[in-house]
Amino acid sequence: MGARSTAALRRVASCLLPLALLGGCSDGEAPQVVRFLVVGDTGTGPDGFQYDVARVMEQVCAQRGCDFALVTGDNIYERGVTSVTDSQFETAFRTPYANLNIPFFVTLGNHDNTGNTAAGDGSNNGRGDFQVDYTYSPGNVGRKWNMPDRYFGFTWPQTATLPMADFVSIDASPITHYVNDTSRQWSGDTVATYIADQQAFIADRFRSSQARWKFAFAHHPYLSNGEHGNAGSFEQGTQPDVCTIPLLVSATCRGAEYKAFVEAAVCNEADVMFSGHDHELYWLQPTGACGKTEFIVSGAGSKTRVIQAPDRNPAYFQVGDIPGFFWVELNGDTFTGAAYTETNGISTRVDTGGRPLPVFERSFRRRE
Amino acid sequence: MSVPRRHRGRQAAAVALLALLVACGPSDLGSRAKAPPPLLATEYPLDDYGLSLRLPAGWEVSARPGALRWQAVPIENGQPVPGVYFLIARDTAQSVPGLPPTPPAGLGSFVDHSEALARKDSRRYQIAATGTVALDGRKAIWHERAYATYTTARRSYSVMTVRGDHGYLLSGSAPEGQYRRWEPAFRAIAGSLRWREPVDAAAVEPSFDPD
Repeated sequence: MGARSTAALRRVASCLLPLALLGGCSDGEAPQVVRFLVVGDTGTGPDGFQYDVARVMEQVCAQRGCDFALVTGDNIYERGVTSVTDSQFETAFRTPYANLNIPFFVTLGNHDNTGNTAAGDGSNNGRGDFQVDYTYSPGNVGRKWNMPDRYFGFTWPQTATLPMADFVSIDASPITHYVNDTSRQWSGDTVATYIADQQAFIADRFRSSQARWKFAFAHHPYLSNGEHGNAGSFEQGTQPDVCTIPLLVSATCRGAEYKAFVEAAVCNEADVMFSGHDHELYWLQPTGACGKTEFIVSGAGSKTRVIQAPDRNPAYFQVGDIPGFFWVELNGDTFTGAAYTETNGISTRVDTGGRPLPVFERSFRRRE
Repeated sequence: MSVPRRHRGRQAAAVALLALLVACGPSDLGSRAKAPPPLLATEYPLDDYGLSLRLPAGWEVSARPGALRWQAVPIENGQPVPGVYFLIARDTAQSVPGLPPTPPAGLGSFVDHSEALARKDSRRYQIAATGTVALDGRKAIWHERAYATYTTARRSYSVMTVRGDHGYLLSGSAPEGQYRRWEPAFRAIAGSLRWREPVDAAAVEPSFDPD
């Protein structure tokens, strides 16, 4: 067993301590290496590929090490949960990830905020509040589920005075959705204030952060070559175009305001923006309007879809029609991302020992 | 109390002087802010809201989606000042297609509802000060709100009014430690509001006298 594997095992072992779930795996100083999973659109439970993907996540974490996981939304299909004791927290979170003893930092997706009409319409933000409340509920044993607010930030290690990485979770659904939430709490002046405060929080946090790396994660992508597409042009490739369905559709459906939100608060501040929503795996190149920020879409955690427009945005990597996830390592100033896909709970690529191999891996050095 | 004849002229002069001070002073006498900054001559029309505003020098419009909000931010050293914004939004719940209109019953109910929702949504929420102000002839209620978002203590100058079937919110917000610096600008921007269509006679409140 090589030194790297030994170190990884030691790291996994240290993270088995319950305290590590809250405070990270360090003694207060930022480590030189941080590793985490990025998986999204996971919430099918046993009806989708979630459990099979989880098996490969376990193998990759055992092999390469994982400090925590980012979940990029649509945590519970198709209409979120209706209480903190909803059984779907077991079937679509605790059971599939029972063998991954790491904290999961979870952001809200459109399906998590749905409950009035069609699945995924985003018209019932109140359901997302249950996912926040679950963070603090007795059922969240070991504080494995971490969504301390609808939008939030966290650093890693959480106890370090000078953390290695700073993350912000964006509550994207109130900014862009198919159907307006007609409740007074989530419409008009109240939702406008909510969005403005969220944007102020993220911009302020990024500009004051002393962390070496800065990341945003959200459900809705800024760029995507999938069916949902780029912010500002969401759904223009869908048949029928859901943003043109009369009466029901929100003026925010195309994501124009979300595009402006990301450009004002995230672009050129975050090194990478992670998202889901489209059920493929993408690593997309920076675009002029968003500065240095790169884009990783990881939305194949339980559902799949084909790539719709592979040339829409220049990609370092893209794959569709297969479940999977990303694994990330921060080593000093170097970011390494690796994409894994699976079939029937077995990694698509394996080494001679049967251990998972990524279908793509790339590294880049941090840009100022 | 009777006033001696020889003092009546002095008293009348004092009353006149007081009246002049009131007339020339800010419409919002409850303000504790410093003198507001000069506003740009340029008016920003907000057609979706049926009004216009003016901004101080150095402010830029940052969001005009036509859907959820209109927002402006101050620019310093070529960058938006983190965490500071002024927004205008309208209560649109009553104009959702397919649903019956439910206009606010009046300014009081709109303010009460907004207040209840803000209190529900925010941490450590409290109204630090309140008063009334005129927005181009419409009675409005302002709150200085202290609250917190996820981890940030903030303070806002929020003005609410009702016109026609809509409730309007104008809100300038800044991190707690910066609020006093930006408050005069918030008040000035709100005070520059002009309705782009005449207020219908029934909506005019001729007896309104801001505090």
